[in-house]
Amino acid sequence: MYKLQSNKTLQRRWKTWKKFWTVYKSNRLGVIGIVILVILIVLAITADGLTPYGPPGPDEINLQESGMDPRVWTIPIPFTTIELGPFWNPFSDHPFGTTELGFDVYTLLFFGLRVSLAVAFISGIFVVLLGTIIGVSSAYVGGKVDAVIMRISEVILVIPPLPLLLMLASVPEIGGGTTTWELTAILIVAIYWPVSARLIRGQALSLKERTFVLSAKAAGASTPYIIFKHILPNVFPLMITMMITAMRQAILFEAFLAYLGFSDPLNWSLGFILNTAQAEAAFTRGAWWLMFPPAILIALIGISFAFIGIALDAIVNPRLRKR
Amino acid sequence: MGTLGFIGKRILFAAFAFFVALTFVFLLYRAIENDPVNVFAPAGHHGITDEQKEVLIKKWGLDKSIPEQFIIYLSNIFRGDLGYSFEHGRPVSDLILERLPWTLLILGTSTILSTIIGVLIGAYIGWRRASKLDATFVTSSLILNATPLFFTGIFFIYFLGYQAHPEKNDWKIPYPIFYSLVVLVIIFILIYRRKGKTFKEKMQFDRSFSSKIGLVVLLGLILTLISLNFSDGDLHLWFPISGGKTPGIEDQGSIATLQNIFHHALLPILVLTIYGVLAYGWFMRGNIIGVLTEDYVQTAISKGLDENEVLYGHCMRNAMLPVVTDIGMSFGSIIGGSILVEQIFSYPGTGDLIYTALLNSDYNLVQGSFIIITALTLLGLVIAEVLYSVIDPRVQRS
Amino acid sequence: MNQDVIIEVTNLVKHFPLKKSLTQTLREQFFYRGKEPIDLKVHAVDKVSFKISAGETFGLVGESGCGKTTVGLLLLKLIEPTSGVINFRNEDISQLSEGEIKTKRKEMQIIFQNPYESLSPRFSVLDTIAEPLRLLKIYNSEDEVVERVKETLKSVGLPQTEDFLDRYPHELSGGMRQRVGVARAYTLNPSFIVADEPVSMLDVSIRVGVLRIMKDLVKKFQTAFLFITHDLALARYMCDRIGVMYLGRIVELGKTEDVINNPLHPYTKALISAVPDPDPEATRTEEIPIVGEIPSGLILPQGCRFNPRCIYAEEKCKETDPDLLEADPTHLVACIRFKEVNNLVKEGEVE
Ligand SMILES: Nc1ncnc2c1ncn2[C@@H]1O[C@H](COP(=O)(O)OP(=O)(O)O)[C@@H](O)[C@H]1O
Ligand code: SF4
Ligand SMILES: [Mg+2]
Repeated sequence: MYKLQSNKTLQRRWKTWKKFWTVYKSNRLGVIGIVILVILIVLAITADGLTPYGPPGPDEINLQESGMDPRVWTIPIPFTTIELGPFWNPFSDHPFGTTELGFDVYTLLFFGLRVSLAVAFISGIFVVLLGTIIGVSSAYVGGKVDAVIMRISEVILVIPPLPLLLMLASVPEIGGGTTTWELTAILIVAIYWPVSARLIRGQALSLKERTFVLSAKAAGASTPYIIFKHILPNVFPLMITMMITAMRQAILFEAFLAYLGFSDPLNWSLGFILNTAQAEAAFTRGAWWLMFPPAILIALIGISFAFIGIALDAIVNPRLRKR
Repeated sequence: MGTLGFIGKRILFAAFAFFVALTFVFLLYRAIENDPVNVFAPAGHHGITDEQKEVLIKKWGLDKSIPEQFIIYLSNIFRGDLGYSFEHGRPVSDLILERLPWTLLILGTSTILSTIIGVLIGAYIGWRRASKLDATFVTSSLILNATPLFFTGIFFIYFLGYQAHPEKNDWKIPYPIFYSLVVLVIIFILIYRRKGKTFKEKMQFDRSFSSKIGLVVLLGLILTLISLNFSDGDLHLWFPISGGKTPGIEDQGSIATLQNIFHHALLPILVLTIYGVLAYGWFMRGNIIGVLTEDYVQTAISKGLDENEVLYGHCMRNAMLPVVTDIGMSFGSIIGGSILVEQIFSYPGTGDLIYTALLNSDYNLVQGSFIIITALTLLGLVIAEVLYSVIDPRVQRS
Repeated sequence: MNQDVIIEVTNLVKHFPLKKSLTQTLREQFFYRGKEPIDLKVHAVDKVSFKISAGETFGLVGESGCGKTTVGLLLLKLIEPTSGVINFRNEDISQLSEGEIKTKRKEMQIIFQNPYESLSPRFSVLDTIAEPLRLLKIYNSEDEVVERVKETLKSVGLPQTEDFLDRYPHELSGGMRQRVGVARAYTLNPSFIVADEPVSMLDVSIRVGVLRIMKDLVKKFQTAFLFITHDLALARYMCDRIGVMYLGRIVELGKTEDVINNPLHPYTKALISAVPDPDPEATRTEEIPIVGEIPSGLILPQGCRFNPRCIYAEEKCKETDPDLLEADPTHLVACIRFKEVNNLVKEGEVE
């Protein structure tokens, strides 16, 4: 009998998803966002198979492995200077050129994509999980606990986030360590959870006052039952949109930190490629291939998240759809 | 209690938040390193002598217990002593005071500009919502918002600074030609967007349209005239890409110095303003749409009141209030943006100060800059909230 | 007769204390020290007593904000009463804890005012109606639950197809939703049901259908039914007896026909005279005005709570707060001057 029930619920759930997807499909931006994101994720996952070199190691220099001589670039192209340092340009055997030290940018891009997406997803998921746990329990416990949690989150929100992030990221260097990508994700969660916690708390508070909660109570429901069966399912859409927003923010936060050099030297993120470019003065030496591809990838990730967020918003708040 | 009580509460909260930030910084550096001397007065640091080290240890009580240190730390900070930067060999507060005007110059100008432009653009686009213009605005702001600010900055450096520099490249567009092109493109777009199918129909100028075109031409002329001032004798569109001013420019007199400073500040301001305009424009657009869909506005419009009067006389005022507070609220992120911009343009502001301090492990300076930045942010927040609560007492309840 | 009484409340009181803000508490602590503390509370329900027998429909009528909903929630113990006794099947449930009340839940149910709010948007029709059955573990097999849900759906005149069971509230019309609400209340076959303005949010055209269903169910299952409404016409259609509420107090209580045809309390008179008469030839009392605004339940008037608005008010009305007095054994009224008042009207008519 239990099997029958779960089968049914599964069916119904599947139906709901199908309905959701039909509505979602009608939103052109949303589809574009999903397609871009899926492609990027696939590229990131299959990175090892796509490039001849492994991820940049501490003393491994891909250029030397390839055993090629640097060539001097002679093809004049608008917006670029003629003079060239030891960079390899894209017209060599390296489709995206190399860095000054000879790292193959094509390889770096895929692995960078992987690290950046990993940071975004992990911090997005944890921001929402933490936010939901804190927000819902704060709404339900109420009283002093609620007040204290809200004060704490407000303080975190009013302290300027980027300087705070910078300071936190610099901490391991005092002990001679480095900012690993996991640490970056943790830091982003630490400064961004209040946003989701406050939003989710607000929604939980208003849901708590809805009549159907009272109705469940009249049917003999306990508080945990109400939270899991009535509050959380109704908070879920907000959780998803919140997660998308958090991921979008995380990408930018990560890029910010990595660009300023606070990044994992063993797991280059896209932002860290840009840091290298800046450090090697790539732009003023004409090596535009070190700048544009990673920046465009970062922008693409952000745009895909933004498009998905807009599409979800249109589904969650149908009022917006009419406009 | 009313307004005064509300203001008091917010000031108390800001003070509390500031205290929390102070405690946090204090504990952060003590938690990771058992001996604070290693952080704040490191042995063997090239900028520091043994005597200075002794003075520092004494002054900050670095050899005392943590609670004692905390009290000394607090009292020092409230006396305005933020420590001593061994990298620069000067007190932190002096350094910050010296750099602060630069930050305020680019932050202040860009904030004012982006508020004004953003509010106007946002209002207009909200008014013409669901139009092609609206769609353009939405997509472009989405794309720009997903692009890291530093990349936009680098982009500008590349095309308007480095590549266009008259000594570095032969890619040169003289100002008059550049602006004529811009004006021509705008006029073309204006004509293209007019009603009518054939070109002839589109070309039927009435008075208001002619005056629009006249305005565009005039703007182009003014821009050309202004920019001729920056062109160092040659007619090229380029901007300096590093520093706050050319060293030694003071010898050429104060007007030349001012011009030079302005020239250096333009690109940083431009980058910050673009992001600001998008942010405030986006916010304003949402507010305007919110106000416009309210019933009484709908009735006002259906009654046949003048559209402009409804939009500018009434809706603007209501929609603008939240934007004003948002400036105060987003002070923190604006300052974060300034770190990047200052780093990209090697601009000599506080953001650059804190970043280079981090790179050089000059933790007295890091700590001091962070405290000042937090204090400024909180100040902005309180001012905005107070202003808002005076203008619109309803906020006090939320 | 007494065995038939399902629920009986005596002197039910509910006060909502106003939340004090931090600044207010501080002010009290520092500036008003020693003086009487500012203690504001809403007197939502103030000494309400009535009883309902099996198969009987009792109506609570009054303007919005007079405390009708609060009474309904109190009876089901969805909020805690400040004081008073609630006898449910001869057992006082007013002091029961949340765990203890759970065993009573299958005996008492509620139909809410707003069908757009009272159904969880993420529960299908089946889940909504089956929720009480599952929560209270009435049946051990899911098939029995579905069977029972279909049965109830039939009794409220809704389709019993699989497709309908899988629908979500946003795919239902307002009338259908409210029927689902009724079905949900009836699946447990309770002996007492509160219906809080069940049709006030519905289109006038579909009200009668929903009302008739409830009326039939009451007859069929011999339920004690508390029908809350602000609409006298609805109360007249549904109820055997009605109580008229004003600012948290029942001011008149009696058989429906008695109260409506022969109102004794000045407030009831005013209410009834304000209702447009469907029968133009009927002789009715002239319109009796209610003067002034409805006072808040925050600060009750001294004496009779209706006195600031009562056109018959006298000095003594400001001194005593009248309890329910018997006009005849089945007709109670809370007015110390009800005899004079009703004579006065008659004299007026003679002139
Ligand atoms: N949870 C609550 N907290 C404070 N006051 C309440 C609460 N619920 C109801 N009240 C107050 O109690 C009074 C009666 O409300 P209610 O029972 O909803 O009236 P009705 O249903 O007759 O319209 C109102 O003045 C209302 O403001
Ligand atoms: S007691 Fe007095 S004030 Fe109250 S209803 Fe009767 S006549 Fe009116
Ligand atoms: Mg009510």
